[in-house]
Amino acid sequence: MAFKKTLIASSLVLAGSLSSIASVQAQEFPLYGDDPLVDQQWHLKNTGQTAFSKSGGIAGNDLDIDFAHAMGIKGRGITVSVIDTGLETDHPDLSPNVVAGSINFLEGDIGYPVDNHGHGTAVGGLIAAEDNNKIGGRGVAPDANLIGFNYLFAQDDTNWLLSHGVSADWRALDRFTDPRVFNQSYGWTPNSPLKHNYSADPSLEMNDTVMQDVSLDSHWGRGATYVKSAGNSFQRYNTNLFGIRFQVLPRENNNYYDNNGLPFHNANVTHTNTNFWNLVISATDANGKVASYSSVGSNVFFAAPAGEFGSDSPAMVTTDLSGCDQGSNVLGNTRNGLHGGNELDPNCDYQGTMNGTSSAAPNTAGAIAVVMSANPGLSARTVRDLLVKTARKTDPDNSGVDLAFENADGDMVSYNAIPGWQTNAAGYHFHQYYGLGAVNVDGAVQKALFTSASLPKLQITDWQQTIANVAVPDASVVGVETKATTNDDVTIEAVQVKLNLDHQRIRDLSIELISPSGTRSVLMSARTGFLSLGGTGYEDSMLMSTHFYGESSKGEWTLKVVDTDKGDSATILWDYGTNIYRVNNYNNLELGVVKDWSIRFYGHK
Amino acid sequence: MKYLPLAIALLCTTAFAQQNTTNVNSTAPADIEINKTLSGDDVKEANADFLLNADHGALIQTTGEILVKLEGNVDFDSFNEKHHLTITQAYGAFYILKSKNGTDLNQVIEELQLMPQVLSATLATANMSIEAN
Repeated sequence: MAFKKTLIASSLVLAGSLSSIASVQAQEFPLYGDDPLVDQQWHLKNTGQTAFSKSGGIAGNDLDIDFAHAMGIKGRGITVSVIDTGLETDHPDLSPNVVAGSINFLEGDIGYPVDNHGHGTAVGGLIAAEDNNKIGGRGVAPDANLIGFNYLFAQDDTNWLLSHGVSADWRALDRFTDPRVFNQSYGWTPNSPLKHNYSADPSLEMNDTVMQDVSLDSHWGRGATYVKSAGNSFQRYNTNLFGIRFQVLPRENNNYYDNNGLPFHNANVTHTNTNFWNLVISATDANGKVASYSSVGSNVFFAAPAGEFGSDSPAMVTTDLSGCDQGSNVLGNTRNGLHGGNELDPNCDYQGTMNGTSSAAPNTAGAIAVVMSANPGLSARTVRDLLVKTARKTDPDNSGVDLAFENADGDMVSYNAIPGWQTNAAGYHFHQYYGLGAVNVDGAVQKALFTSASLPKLQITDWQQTIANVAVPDASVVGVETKATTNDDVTIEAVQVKLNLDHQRIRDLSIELISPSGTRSVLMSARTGFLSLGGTGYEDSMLMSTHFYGESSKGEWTLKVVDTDKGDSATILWDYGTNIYRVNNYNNLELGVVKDWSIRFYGHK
Repeated sequence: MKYLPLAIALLCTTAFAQQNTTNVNSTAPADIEINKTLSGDDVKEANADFLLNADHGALIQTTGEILVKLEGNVDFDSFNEKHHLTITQAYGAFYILKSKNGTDLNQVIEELQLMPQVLSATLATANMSIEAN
């Protein structure tokens, strides 16, 4: 094996050109080493294996990582933080990579971040389970360092700071901690738009400040990356009303869970997902298509493998809490063929049912660690840029969703509610489901090896407000447009819009942003499962899009709002018991009004 | 809870026996589905007021912390001693204070808000609806 690696490396050096690297990188390499479960880890190398479920995926739909691993580029020197339910740091497949820095918030001490659930341990294994050690599988970055925090069981502002990159000694001048990648496989789904207002929510301002500083200034100016799961609410989500937990689901055409093919949740609803510092990740299955549960939206940066449920089709094969009496893999659990004491894992230290955007995020976090390790001198933003430049157009034939509805005049009309793959004016592909594409580690590593300069300094333009006060016609595919011209000229990395819009049933609305180059991005898709009823609509609500990546910000921007429903389709609230309520089933009595909107750009000169 | 007398909306069936009470979902929540054979007639309308939830569906709890934003320097030592508070963390203009012995934090916040260098002082909360994805 060592001979092969040397041969490959030598041939690359001798060839000495980007094209010859590309040629080698395009070849297929085995995942060298002795890890008994690695053959079932389809996210690393998808051969159509079943991952101990009843069916397999489609070969090739993976992270494209075999070349990097064959070259020995596996995350060495990069520390990844698992901010989660905890991390079983003495798990035999994790302990070799665990370094100092973990905190057990439950008992208030440095060291062992006890994981009473198993989610964080599964996440940690996806990132950096050790390779070639004759047990289990391996992580995306098996040479990376790991630390963990059981923040999800001890959430407060103090613990947020300590787990998100700030050191404990608050009097110290240098507050930044070691991780260059922070994985956040958590979130929530608000049932109505949130206000993005620092005065009302100083905690939000503190968090944004920390994330900006760590992202740009830590590690001697090279920065770090926060990776965030988009959410698991494509079909339904949970909400709490007066202390009672409900499932919220659509009901169209007399069918539950029918939302005319449209996502029920948009990742832009969750305000931490509209933060530029969070790299928001959607989930794909083993066929390369959007996972059945994955939240999607214009703020999604990339898509990454996560799988389905591990019973009928593949989920993730990763670390589990040790032993057959805890975690997901326990005796008697036969949901997945690995569970219950498989000969490849007789001690039940691994599982085959991990999924969710909780898996897509750590697979991306590991990918970033690998690319960073290929060229540690690059800034975190540059690594992100290289991943954009190399992202793969997964599910390439996905044509989006056309929504048919009866307009105000009684005619049936069709509205392109979710566009298929588009190409923006800078040549980047994007899709509401997949952001700028599927993560392609080998492509990004190849570019990182031959990139000597980081992106220019990040520019954040001032908010530019447009007073609109225009009515939104009910049930009209024409909609209403309001325009703003900006003289700021930056090469866009992301665009944020802050919106004030009155409407009594905002789930009817689709909100689009159209760039000076004509690129159309759906910021909020129609029929999103908001519960507003007689509410005020959007009030200082933040929406973000990555779809204009690489375009110029200068010129005329158009915000378009389309009302897609005059009927009585409904949203359902179910209390997981015997109570089912119908809401949102009356059309708005008054026309909606776009009051004002503001726009700002993140990018570089 | 006062809006829950939606008696007319109750539907008794054993088809919905499954409960999802854990606060952390290890996997995507696709397993637990409503019984799809129910017709629309089984579903009743909710009281509109029930939905006017200021927390957007989040389960909010106080954390026992006060988040203070300052403009300039403040000597917290004497203030904290008087109120039995400690600084648990700080970053930039933000300070997080915590009581050592069950001090009335609302009273402390009122006093903090009177201090000229304090831009804001709020009772910190945690969103317990945040879950693993």
